[in-house]
Parts: sequence; C-alpha cells; structure tokens
Amino acid sequence: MAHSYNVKYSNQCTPQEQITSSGRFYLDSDCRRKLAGTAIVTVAGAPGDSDSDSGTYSSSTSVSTTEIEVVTGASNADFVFIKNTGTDSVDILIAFDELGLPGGSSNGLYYIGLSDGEAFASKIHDDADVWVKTASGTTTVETLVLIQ
Amino acid sequence: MSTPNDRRVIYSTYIVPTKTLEMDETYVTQEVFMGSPGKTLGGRGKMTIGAQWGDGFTSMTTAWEDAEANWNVQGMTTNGTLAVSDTATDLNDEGSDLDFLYIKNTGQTNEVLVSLNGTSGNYYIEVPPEGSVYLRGAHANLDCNDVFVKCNSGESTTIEYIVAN
Repeated sequence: MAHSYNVKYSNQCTPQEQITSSGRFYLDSDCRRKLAGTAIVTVAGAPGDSDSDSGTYSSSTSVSTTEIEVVTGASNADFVFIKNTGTDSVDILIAFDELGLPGGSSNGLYYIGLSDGEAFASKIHDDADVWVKTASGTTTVETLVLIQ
Repeated sequence: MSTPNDRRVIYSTYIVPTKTLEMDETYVTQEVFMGSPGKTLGGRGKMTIGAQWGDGFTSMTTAWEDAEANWNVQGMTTNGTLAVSDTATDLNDEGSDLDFLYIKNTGQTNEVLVSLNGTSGNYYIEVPPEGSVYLRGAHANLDCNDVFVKCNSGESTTIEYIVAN
C-alpha cells in the first residue's frame, strides 16, 4: 500500500492603520482586506515514519548566539517551519545560506527575525541551507523540515 | 494615499502535516497527522510598521509614481496584483530597511521564486500557486528594494504583496 505525505500551510496577515494618535486601529485603507494564502506541498515522508522516514522534527532546540544549521543544502529539503518557542523576549535570526550572500560572511546574513511565538513557514529551494541564531541571549525553537 | 497616524500588521502561520493512508481498496484513503510532530503547528505575532515610504508599499495601490524612477526593472501593479515572468522583477526602488514582507502567489499554475538579496541573488523562497509567505526583516542589509521575484523559465504568474519599512 502506498501512502502519501503532505503539508498544508497558510500564511496570513492583517494590515491595520490608526487614524489618530491613541485611536483604534482599522483595516488598512490601502490594502483594504486581510491577506492570506494556503498551499499544499507533497513530500516524500515524515520524520521517523515507519513507511517512509524523511525529514526532521524537533519540538525544542536551544539556540544561542552560536548559529545552528536547521537545514543543510545537501539534504534537498523543500519545506521548513521554524517557531521561536522562547518566552524571554529573545529574538532569533534566520539565514538561508552560509556563504555567498552579500558581505561574504561565513555566517551568512540573517535577514529574517522571529520574536517569541512567531513562526516562519515556507517552501524553499532544495539548495538552501537554513541557519538560526540569536543576536544575544538564549532561546528555543521548534523546527520541522520536510523533503520532497 | 491616506496618511494614517500609525500602521501595524498582525500575522500568523498555520501548518498541517499529514499522511494519507491508502487502504487495501485503493479508492479508500484515510488522512492522519504525520506521526512526528503528530499535531498542527503555528505561530503568530504583531509589529508596528509605522508610516510607509509611499504608495508602492503594497500592490493594492497603483504605484505608478513609485515605479516611474525604476520603470525598466520594476513591475507595474494593476488591479492589486503584479505580473511576474521569468525575468527578475524588483518590487520597488525604496532603499530603506525592510521591516515586513508579505507575498501571495495569486496565480493558479506556476510557482513564484523570491530573492532577498537582489536580482542575481539566491531565490531560496518558493511560493506555490495560491500560497503565501511573510517575514520580518532583521538585518540592516535587507532593504525594501532587495526583494526580487521571478518564475521558472518560460513560466508566469501574478502576486500581491506588502513591502513595508
């Protein structure tokens, strides 16, 4: 019996504007609506699955100012979910490449930030390396990496 | 463009990792959570984005005056969407730090590829048809005009977006 594996993900945002100082926020008059998109990515298996073991899941990994690699380019990962599960107001930073970004730093450039409770979920190119670290302090992250 | 006192954006992510079990009768299937993580995952947040740099911060406005300065590499939005081809397109020419980015692929067929480091950068973010992505900018080197989009060779689609500083 063949089984199939999917991840359905939705990213949504609600832009708002405040007309007067200390006034209430309304739906942004330029965007005029809530924005959302939902897609399904088919993957090869699930972490630890007895039929098709593929990808990785960690409910809590400690992250400090020393970067850790969530996804290696060689793994051909196609979907990544990262959530800052800390509670100490420590932001995490995410980079997609160790090398080759502007500046040529061996640590890449950490373009994306996540505060407590925030998450990043996206289909990614299978060459991407994904690294996380904090600017200062220590926190924890939840990660799910899936491979097509 | 209205000039509000302040702006903010509330955002959330929700994912459902599933395994579809095919029974002895192939037309009978059962969908269950992947054993690991064995549940849905998600997160949410809120950030102030303040007054914006111009109409072009979102595709929902017709940003001809923002596009004019960079018309040869920058797309024109119509009806709230931007047409994307296999030629890299800059979403705007604003050079200030990017605080928040949202892109939805409003097409039905092809993926859109997103670069955070310029036209010749690495298009590591992929947005499937009807999917979307958002992120908070966290680096002084990530400017609003560093975000480029394109499709794979020979493909096209449309997107809607917010690029806020």
